[in-house]
Amino acid sequence: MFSIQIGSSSRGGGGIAGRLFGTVFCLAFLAGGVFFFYLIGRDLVQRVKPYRWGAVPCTISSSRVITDERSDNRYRLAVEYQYTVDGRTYSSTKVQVSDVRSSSYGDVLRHASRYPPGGHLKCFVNPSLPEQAVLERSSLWFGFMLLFPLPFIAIGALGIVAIWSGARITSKAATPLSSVPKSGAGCLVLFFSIFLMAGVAATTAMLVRPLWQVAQARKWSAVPCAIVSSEIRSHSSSDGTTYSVDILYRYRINGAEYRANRYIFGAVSSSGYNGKQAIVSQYPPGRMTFCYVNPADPTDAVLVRNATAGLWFGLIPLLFVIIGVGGIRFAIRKSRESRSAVPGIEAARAIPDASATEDSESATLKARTSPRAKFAGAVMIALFWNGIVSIFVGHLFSQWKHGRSEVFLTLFMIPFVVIGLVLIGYAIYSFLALFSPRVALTSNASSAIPGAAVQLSWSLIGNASKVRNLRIYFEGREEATYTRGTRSTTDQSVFATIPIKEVSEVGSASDTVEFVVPADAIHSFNAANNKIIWAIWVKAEVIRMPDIKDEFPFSVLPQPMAPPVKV
Amino acid sequence: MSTLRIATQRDRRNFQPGEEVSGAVSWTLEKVPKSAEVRLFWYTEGKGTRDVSVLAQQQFFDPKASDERSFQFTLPQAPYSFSGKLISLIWALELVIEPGDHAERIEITVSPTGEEILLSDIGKVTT
Repeated sequence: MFSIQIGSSSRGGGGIAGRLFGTVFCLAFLAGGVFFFYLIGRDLVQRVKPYRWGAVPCTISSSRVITDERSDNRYRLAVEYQYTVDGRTYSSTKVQVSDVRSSSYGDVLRHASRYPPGGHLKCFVNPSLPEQAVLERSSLWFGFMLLFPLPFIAIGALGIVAIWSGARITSKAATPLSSVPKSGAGCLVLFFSIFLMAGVAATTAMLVRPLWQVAQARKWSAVPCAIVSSEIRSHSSSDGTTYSVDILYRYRINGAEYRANRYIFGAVSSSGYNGKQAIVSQYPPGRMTFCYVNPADPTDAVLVRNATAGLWFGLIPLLFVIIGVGGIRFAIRKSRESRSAVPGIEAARAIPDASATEDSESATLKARTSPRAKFAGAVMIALFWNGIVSIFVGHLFSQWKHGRSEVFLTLFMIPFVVIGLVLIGYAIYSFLALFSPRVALTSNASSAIPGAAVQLSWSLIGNASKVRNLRIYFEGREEATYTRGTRSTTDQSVFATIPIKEVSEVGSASDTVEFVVPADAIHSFNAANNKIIWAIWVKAEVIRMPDIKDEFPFSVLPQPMAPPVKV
Repeated sequence: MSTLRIATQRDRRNFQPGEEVSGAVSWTLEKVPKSAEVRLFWYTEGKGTRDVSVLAQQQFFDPKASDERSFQFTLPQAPYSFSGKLISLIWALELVIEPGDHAERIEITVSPTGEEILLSDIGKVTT
């Protein structure tokens, strides 16, 4: 058995304009993917070449760190060396196929220390062009980068095929309704895995590694150092200009002079200028201060070894991790749902007595959403929304403070701020709900067949005297999920409501009641987009606290039937 | 001109879960098809995006351009045929012939009563 879902577009086909728009969208993915695949592939081919070159003895003449003001990675390793091929001496400055550069002086200096002047090493020489040589073969792990554009190529190509093959199918009158592509759960898992990997990599680089370095640097020794240069570097991109602190300082270890430009661990380039200007002002060229040097590696140093507030930016990539994990779970759940749309279908075959229910022992029913989960969800959404909005509000605040009237942007931001305030209000409401009285339900079954009597015990947790108008009822509803444009919407329609208990004044804090599942009830149904949901609802008013409104899912099973009868 | 036909035994359309459903299919095509099969499946109609689940399929080997074959399936316990305000679940048998996406489909009803369950009627009658 296999199961799938078809988008509404596969029936209606969408307009030609929609298909063209979709094609352009997919082409952009495809072209972007192919372009990056080509760039990475070209670089990889260059990296592979030295692996076919022969090793030749060579002598290092000089090695140093060169500052290149034009590049973001301003420090470049320059090594000059000589080698002899067929009696002729050649000279080269190539360390690897491409330049060895970094924004960290210390990293390049560490690399340079492998090539002391006068040192005798092996270099790799192109046999057909002896003037071409390198000191190092570049790592081929870079080849894995080729995997990254592949999802874009796949999304683009498959998207175009899907758009136009869908058009072909819908133009036919007698399309087999049962001939449908397999579930795209695998593609979804792959797609969200990219989010997850990117999130883990970015969180490691921006948060975990700097925190580990901060901890390690506690053991480093303070060494007197002199500021060589101190400036703010700007980095322009399509998203605007960002700034970073670049303070170069020198220090001596065992008589040798070293230089480094690491100010803090985990420094990133960001949009704020004034804060960075204040830092740079603290360290003018020529000033003597202390820096911290790794005793095991004198090229490894930092000016400020403590954790800074900027490190918390490293929490932002966690959103990608959450989206990745959530998306993978969603894809797997959807795939399972589409495989088994009727809960308890296997059990239904095994139940011999039509009046029996599934469980013989009492079961505690679980609410669909716990108050803690509601609160956590509300906090997450409020933080996410207001975190983004606060960037713009901060910018506006700064503009107004400096006398620049951003009237249009201010008006534009008002609805976003209001939504943010509502979300904060809901988070506070959800927090209060943690302390509100709740109802716990236990039953002799968490599922039942139509016509079965179910024993239900309820008890109030918390201050029962605050609870009024308690209402418990059994409800059946349809849920249909559909997509319009980019929005997925779920409509609900209740088709059955069976009262179980209604009390205006809650005298005792617990009771046991019985209800009967309607004999003609439809079983629960849980396909990917269409569902029949049965649930026990508990609603009550709570004085001066959030009201009780909890849903406890309850499965209605198919009727057990007699063995198959030949028609 | 292609002709496809699918019929259940005694033209029966109402079944109970677990019952066997059998019948015959026939087709007349201009060319010999590559494959021919009959499928037992359900699908949803209504407001939600369509869900489809193929429960069983019976493939006919060595199909001729003009042919007639019989089929037999055992219906599962669920889901039942139902219809509500937002969703309808429909059971069907479909003859599919490739190449060309030739198809012929008949709908059947599967429920304990043999009739489609109307969600609006649930709980209205006390037993």
